[in-house]
Amino acid sequence: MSSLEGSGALSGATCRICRGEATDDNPLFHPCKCKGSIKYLHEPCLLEWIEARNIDINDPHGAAIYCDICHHPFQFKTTYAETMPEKIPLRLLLTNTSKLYLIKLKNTVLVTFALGLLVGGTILAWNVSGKLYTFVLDGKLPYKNEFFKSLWFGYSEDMTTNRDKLAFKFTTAGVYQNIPLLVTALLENIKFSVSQIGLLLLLHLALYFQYDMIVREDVFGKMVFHKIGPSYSLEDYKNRLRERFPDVDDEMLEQVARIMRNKELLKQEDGDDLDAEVDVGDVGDVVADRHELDELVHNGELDASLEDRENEEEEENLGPDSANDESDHSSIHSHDDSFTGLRLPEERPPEFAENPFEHPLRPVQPPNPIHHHEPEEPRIQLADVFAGGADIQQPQLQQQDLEDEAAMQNEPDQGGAPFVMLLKLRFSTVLLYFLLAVVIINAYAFVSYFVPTVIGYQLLNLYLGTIKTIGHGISTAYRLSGLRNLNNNVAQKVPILSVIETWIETNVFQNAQYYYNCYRDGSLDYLTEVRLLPGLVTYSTFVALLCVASEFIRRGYNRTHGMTNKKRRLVFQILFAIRCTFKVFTLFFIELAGFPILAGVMLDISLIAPILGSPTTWLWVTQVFKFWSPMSYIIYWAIGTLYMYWFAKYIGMIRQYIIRPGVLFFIRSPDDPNIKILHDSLIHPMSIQLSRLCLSMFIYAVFIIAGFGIHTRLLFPYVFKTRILDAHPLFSTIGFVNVGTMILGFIIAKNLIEENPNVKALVRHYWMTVMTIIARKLRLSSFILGKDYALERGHVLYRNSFYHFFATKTAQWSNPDLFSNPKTVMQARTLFKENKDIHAYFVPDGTLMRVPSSDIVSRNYVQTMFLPVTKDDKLLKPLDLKRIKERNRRNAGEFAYLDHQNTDFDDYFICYVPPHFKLRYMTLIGLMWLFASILIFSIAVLSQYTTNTLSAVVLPVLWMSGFHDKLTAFKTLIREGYRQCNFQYTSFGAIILSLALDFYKEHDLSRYFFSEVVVEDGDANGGNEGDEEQPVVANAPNVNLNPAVPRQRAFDLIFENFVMKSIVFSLLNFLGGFLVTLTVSVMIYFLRYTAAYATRTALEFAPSLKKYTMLSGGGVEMFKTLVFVLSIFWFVFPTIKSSGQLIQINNQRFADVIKMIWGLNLAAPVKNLCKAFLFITVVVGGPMVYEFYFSSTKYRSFLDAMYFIKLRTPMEHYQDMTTSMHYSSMIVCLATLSVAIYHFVHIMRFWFGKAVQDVKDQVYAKGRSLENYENVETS
Amino acid sequence: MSKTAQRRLLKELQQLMRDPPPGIVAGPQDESDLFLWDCLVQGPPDSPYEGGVFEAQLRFPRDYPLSPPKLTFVPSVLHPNVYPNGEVCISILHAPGEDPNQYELAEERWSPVQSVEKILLSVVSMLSEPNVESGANIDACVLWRDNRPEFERQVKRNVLKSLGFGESEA
Repeated sequence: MSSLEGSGALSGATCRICRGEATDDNPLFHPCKCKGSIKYLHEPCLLEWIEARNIDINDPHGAAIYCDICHHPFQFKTTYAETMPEKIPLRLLLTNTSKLYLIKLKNTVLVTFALGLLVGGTILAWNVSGKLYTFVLDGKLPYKNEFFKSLWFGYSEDMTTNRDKLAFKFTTAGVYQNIPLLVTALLENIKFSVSQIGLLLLLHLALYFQYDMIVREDVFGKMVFHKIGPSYSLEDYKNRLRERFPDVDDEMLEQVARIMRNKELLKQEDGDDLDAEVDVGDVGDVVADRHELDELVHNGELDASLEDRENEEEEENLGPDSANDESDHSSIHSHDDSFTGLRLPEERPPEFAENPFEHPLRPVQPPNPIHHHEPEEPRIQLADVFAGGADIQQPQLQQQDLEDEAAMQNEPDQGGAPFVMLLKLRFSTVLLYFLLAVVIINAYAFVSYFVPTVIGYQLLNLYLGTIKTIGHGISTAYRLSGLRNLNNNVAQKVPILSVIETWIETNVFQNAQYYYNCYRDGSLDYLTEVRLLPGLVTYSTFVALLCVASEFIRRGYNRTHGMTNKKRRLVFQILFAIRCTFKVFTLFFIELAGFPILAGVMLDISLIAPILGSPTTWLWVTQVFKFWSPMSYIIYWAIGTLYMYWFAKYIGMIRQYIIRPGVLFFIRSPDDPNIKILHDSLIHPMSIQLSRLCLSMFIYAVFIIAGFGIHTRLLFPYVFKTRILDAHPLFSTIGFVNVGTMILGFIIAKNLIEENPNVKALVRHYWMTVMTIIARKLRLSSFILGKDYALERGHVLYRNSFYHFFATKTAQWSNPDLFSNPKTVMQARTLFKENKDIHAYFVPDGTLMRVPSSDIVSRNYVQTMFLPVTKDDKLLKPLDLKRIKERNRRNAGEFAYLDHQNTDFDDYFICYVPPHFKLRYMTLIGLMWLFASILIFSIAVLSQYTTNTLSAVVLPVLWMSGFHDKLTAFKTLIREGYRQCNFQYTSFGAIILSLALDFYKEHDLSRYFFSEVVVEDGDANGGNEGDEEQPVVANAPNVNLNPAVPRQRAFDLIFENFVMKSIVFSLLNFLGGFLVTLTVSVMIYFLRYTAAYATRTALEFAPSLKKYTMLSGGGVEMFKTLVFVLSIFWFVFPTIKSSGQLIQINNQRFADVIKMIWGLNLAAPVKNLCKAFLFITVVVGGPMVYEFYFSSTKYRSFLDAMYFIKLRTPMEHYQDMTTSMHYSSMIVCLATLSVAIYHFVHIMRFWFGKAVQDVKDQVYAKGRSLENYENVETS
Repeated sequence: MSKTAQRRLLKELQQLMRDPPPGIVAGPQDESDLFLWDCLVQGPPDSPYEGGVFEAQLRFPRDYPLSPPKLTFVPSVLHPNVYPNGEVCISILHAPGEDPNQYELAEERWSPVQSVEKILLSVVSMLSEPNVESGANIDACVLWRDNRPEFERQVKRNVLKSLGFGESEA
């Protein structure tokens, strides 16, 4: 079959390796797809070539070997030992097969065990160790004398509020009776531990990266320098100089050393090369008379500055870049050299090697190519060892890879074998790993929980004691002094005061008292917060101590008086880095997490809760996520972030298109070069940054509450007495459908509308118009818009209020040169008396002012702004520089001099400012609020009405279909829809409106409606997000107002994004799982009853069997539960399986995603299930039809017959069964049985054949020999 | 081993004599040693090497054809894929598994299927189309990439030199 005696007929064919021809004892083969002159091979030649690549050819289970050219595996067949019997002994067969299956079983069990233990076990170990430590801390168990129960249930709220539920004894019987409780508690434990572990990991990572970032930040090095000064004292410099220039006298050395140190100081302050050059000059001056030294130093300096440039990065980062291993010394040396400007190549004692910032925790950096030649060598060696040497070992490595592969393919039947093999997983190792994990967890919990808590209890006692004592002191003083009587008197006279006092007393003092008492008697012990309190106290105390310690260590040192002790420097640097980390972490945490969460909560209070909840609810989101409270924080964070993002986009739009640059200088612009977040957080004092943050948080909160809350909480419900903002309960009741449609509607609306250029252009146009009008009316055009109108420069003075209010035009017309000839107030008053005909004069007022003309001016520059000037830009009042400096000094903190702000954009603009400027400005903001409200409200209502009106389409359909009750209900719904908005309708309406706007623009409909192109009209007003605020608008690319902008199709906009794809992905997964499960369950259901029926009818089984097969009420429930549980399984499992794909989804088109999902989950199983279902239906349906047909008198309908078959009928009916029924089912059963037996035999033969082959391969296989390619294909 | 190699080399030599590819002449330096060949390669037309005749040495290993031979230009040639010592660096001359960067596909590298003829043809094609991605002579690479006229000028000068014309046209 394999040799090529026959095919050698092709004369002239040669072996592709040795170029020899076929001989009798060495025939040619063609074992791969190659054709032409390289088709043929000698077996020995191939083997030699393969051997040269270090692959073992003789292993019959070895890996497939691929042809170099066509990449087709060479065809081999296994050769067997001559001793192989014709028939494999049964004993061998059995042992071999069972061995195989046992290995398979073992591996499966092992993998499951390992995964379960290492994942689930670790989580539980975390939980248990936490509980154990807590028990130890408490000195008692939560359930007296019931250790395991305590361990299982731990502390829960039920302990105090629902004692009876957990009153059972934790014995075998008790456990059996309370399995649901136990399972719930277990799941609770797992949830709790997982969230804890996740949170801790997040915290550690965040802190670590924060630390890393800070240490890398160049300003950090300067701060350290500021604190502890240079590492060299003057003496060091002098000594080093003396070594280099032994013949120079002491005085000169001292001078040079001092200059060098000054240079170092300067360089620390700002690492410009400029300073170095200046210093070269200085040095030159000082040592002008000593030519030799002068020149030397000069050279040295120049060298140094050259080197500076070379190592600029190193210099800048000052150490953090260099790692704490010895290999760094070279780099540090060069560092030193550049500091001193002296080259001392022969003198490099290790004690001079000083890493400016050494830290043991930092990972080794990639070596600097210039300075790290030595450390690189061992690394190469290591790599060599690892890679198995350079040239010769390389093939070996590959061969090893291939061997691994071979090993993997070696046991193709072993399921999880490769995984197990590669990790060398054994029960013992799994246990070992687990034990290790337990030990680590315990150690971690001991260090991070137990010890701090123990300390924390003492600290808390101390602190609380102190507070209590002080409180006692105050209250005693209060009682003893006459204040109490005074207070009583005042309270009697001013009743509001007493109300406030009572409120404070009940809400603050009594609560505090309550929590204090609960803490003391331990009745709140189940709260995690209470448990965390002592630990947190310890940690904060520890951090505070660290801060104090770092200050303590550096006491007595400063920039000029440097710290020379290396160890002390190191300790200080570590402490200082930790201190900075905590400072920056706190700030970042507040800014990135606290800020959005606060905004989210505020939005909930002022917008979401009043609209979606009842008027009395304060928070709506927490009600939705009652099942897991941390979720609501995440949701709040998301809401707040989205809000802030939109707000920023709104500001950006206003900035870019509407207002003059420089008006919003106090809101940081994204292109501001002065933003250096980490840098700023580091150098500015904590208190100032905190107060700034609090202020902006406060402003944000006020904006939200005043912007939205006033409408929803006050104006609409109480002033306008309308419920239009209140969602109808039908749409807002918290439930899966409502919340789901809301989220879905929101996401679709957001996707469609947020980036719609037409909507953007429209809203921008609205705001431009509004702002222009407001600014003109308030005479703020110059300040806000940067447009100067002469008319705004003053006001018209009328003769009296009659002319002012009732005859304005007449009065103005009475003065022909009203604006060209302005008067002062005094002049006007006299003129009114002199000239009776003129009733109005123009009186200029206000001032000119310097204002910043850019949004990115530096902080200091702003303080010189907003000063009144004359026409030719002369200050009316001199600048109060002293006061500014004083204020700067107060706010600056010790590192202020490190802050360099970009002043490139510092410029001012002289604008006109009318009198009562602040009032006008406030009015402007108020009017903006009003117009924003009008915009949002009108769009929301318009959207709502659009959808509501459109939904009326259903009415005739309902009417024609005759659903009269539904019709009435729907009519009511539509009527309600005009009274109360709801989120779903509004978002849908907004989508419709935006699409209408697109259509309007695209077909340029305005020319049909208006002769000129005008944009503001009712129809085109739509599009803005209904219940959202105006910041939906954004600074779009320059879009012309008039022409329509081509954009993506709506379908793409809705679905081609990550969120929607993920949602749809999950839903489809669930749906798929549900379908598959339903099919499976229905089949099980049918099978069960068919089988039961068949058994009963065929074998006339005892009636007692009926009990098991009866479909009772419980059966239906069980069926439902089964379907549900299985669908969840089918839902979760593929989602986990395809979580990797979930990330890739973003890049795929939606249609492909659907294909992928359905292909993944459904295609094959559904096909098989359909087949099976068909088969079973025939089996089951046959008897039904038969029964009905032959005894049609007995049943009223086919359904009756079906019920009968399904054994729903009572017992007596069973007695009446006809024989035909018995008969038919007998036949069907026999047929089914024979089919089943046939299949069984078939399968058994297949398995038997496979088992025999396995035995042959494993016991008798000898080697492999080549086979021809076609032979394989044809055989 | 050595016998197989000798047999194969003889076969290849016969094949080359019988059906010589254009622009290539190759044969053993010495009748007694089949493992060291001398080759003459004509510079391909439409390349800076046009008109030149380049001498190269092929040194076969004892386990040929399992390992690739070594090709060295004597004297060296200015080319991005030729080391300054004249050694040629093309993928067909690399044993499989030698390339740690995985620049080259397995089928591009040495396999017993290849032959002297194919190597020399590859060299000719290398001369007309240098592969700067995996350069051997960095200076030549840079020159070829950044300053093609200068590269061509230098190559032409070398070609003339190799033909014995000296620097007359430099």
